Amino acid sequence: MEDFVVVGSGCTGAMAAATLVEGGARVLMLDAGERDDRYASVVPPADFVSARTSDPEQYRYFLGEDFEGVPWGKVGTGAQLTPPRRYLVRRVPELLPLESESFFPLESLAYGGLGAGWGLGCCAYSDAELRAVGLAPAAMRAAYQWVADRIGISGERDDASPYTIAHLERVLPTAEMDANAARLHASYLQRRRRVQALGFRMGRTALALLTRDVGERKAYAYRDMDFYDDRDQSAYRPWMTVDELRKRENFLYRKNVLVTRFEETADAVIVHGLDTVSGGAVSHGCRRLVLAPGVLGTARIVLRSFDRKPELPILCNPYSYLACIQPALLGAPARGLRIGFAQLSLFHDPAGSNFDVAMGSIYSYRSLMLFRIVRETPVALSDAYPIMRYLAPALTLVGIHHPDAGDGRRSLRLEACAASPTADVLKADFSLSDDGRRKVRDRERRFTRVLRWLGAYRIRRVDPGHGSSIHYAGTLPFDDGDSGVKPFTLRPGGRLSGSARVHVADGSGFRYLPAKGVTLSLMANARLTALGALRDA
Amino acid sequence: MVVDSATTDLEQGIAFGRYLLGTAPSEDALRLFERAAARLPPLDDRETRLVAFLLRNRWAIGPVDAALALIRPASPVRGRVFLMLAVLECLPEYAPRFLPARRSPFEHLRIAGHALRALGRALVGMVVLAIASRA
Repeated sequence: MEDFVVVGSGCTGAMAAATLVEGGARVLMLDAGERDDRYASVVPPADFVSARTSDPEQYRYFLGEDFEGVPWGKVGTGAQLTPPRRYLVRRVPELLPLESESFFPLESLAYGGLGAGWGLGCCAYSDAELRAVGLAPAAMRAAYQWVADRIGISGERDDASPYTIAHLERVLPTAEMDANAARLHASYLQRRRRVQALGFRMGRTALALLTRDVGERKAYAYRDMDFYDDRDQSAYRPWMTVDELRKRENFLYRKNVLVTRFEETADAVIVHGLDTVSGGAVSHGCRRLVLAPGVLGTARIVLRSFDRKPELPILCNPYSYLACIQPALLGAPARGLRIGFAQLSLFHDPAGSNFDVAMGSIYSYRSLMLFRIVRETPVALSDAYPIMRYLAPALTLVGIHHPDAGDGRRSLRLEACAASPTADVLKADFSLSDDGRRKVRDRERRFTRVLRWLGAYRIRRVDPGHGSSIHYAGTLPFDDGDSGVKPFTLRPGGRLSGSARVHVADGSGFRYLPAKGVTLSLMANARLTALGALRDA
Repeated sequence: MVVDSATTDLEQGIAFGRYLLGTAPSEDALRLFERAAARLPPLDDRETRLVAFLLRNRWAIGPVDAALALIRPASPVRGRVFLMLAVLECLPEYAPRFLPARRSPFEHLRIAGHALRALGRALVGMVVLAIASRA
């Protein structure tokens, strides 16, 4: 029997498992482990423009072997996934059924989870945010640095760093900016006082991206193929950590397992699941269980493991993005540095308290084909593509996340469904309160105004739906830590209330969801949960 | 009207490619379009009639595309033109048409011309689409 079973290989599963393995425990990771190796050998080592102008096989990774990269429907969940990244959501509708008219999350059964397509943005929460989330600031600061040292974070001490890397003593130099971001940043520096007077701060986005070689991982080469391959491993992906762990004697990895529920006895936990290939039942015994399949996966597993199946809450950052144009860049040629990740962050913190902050992540239109935006243009396609070719270098995309404290109607419930391999389906409702909606729209207007001052003019607003940006949490909120068993909550430290041996290492416990990118905090929390589980053991 | 789908995919490729490029598309482009189009669901009667109309009246593809962009952007017929566009963008010989290029002093005028043409096409296309629907 293993000391620990860790469920899931994503950002939180990888960090929890690394902590446990390095703490000397014997760990078994159970994972569906979907992969797609078809594309690794097809994507050339060339940069984006060279591949476009010279590779006759490029359609295989730009359109996909099955033409799955041709966008047919509206912009929505999964629209950002290129063919080589589509495996992230493979088999999800079948094995993780979810029904909702108002909540459109992205889940994954991939090796490395959704982290395999992570946008790399890293933000450490402020002490005030950590307390609202239900996490201890001092412990989280140490965990943030541990994660940063492990994954490699590049960033810069500037106006944005109080919102991103303030808790980190060691970071790598920031990546270079492309012409689009550099122009906006220069404009901000010229108008800084005026912009700050409105409660906005702009600076470089901290990224889990190497800007110098570290071991076998190479410095970012600005190939602009960020959404197609991980050739140099400069962008951190959780599977890199799991690959490392698989070389250790006290770590076992078993794929093709969808964990469905657990049973706890006096001295063990029995973990039940489905073999995703044969459909047969599997079970494993362990002394302790660490759940890290993502908040919706954890909700399913916990609900199935108890007779009572209450509605669970959920937090999710309201999200929309603004397509803006910087007129000075209209028709500019495709030259100079190109980077597909967010390069700038714009924070709205009117109170200056580093709490209740909204965050804008600013991208150039890079690494992506023109046809993805041509289809959205309400003119004839033969006119649309020269127009969009002209607009693309000037296109600045601003994804805006708003904090979520849980107002409005939200619920997750598990209902029987004979057609599902797990005999159930997760149903979700999500809506903001009227006040919440008003606040979101008001903040969007402020973002629009500030961007206009900086020379980026909004041409379109896109609302891809709640959950589509994958910022959700809070299904089993942390309790106050002061009294007895409160079912379907977590004790401080991540142990499931009422359980002696089951720990939850993902964001299920968060009581508040800051707008800042959640992934770094999820990984740091996973580290703390695993340390707590080691202590309990 | 029964339209042979294999013939139609090739004919569509030729017609839509010429509409988008202004010249005949390459064999690579047609081959790829046929492969991709084979994965699309069949058109319903109304859309099949519209495709047949466009193949008989190729001058109408631009106006009808412009009208569909405004009133039925998810139309499967427009989807097929879009598929040809995606195919063309993924071939090295056509890539320069899609990559941002050196700015010429007349670029703004050229783009303004495209915008005006798009408007004119949409107006004509509304009428053509109404006629094609009754044809």
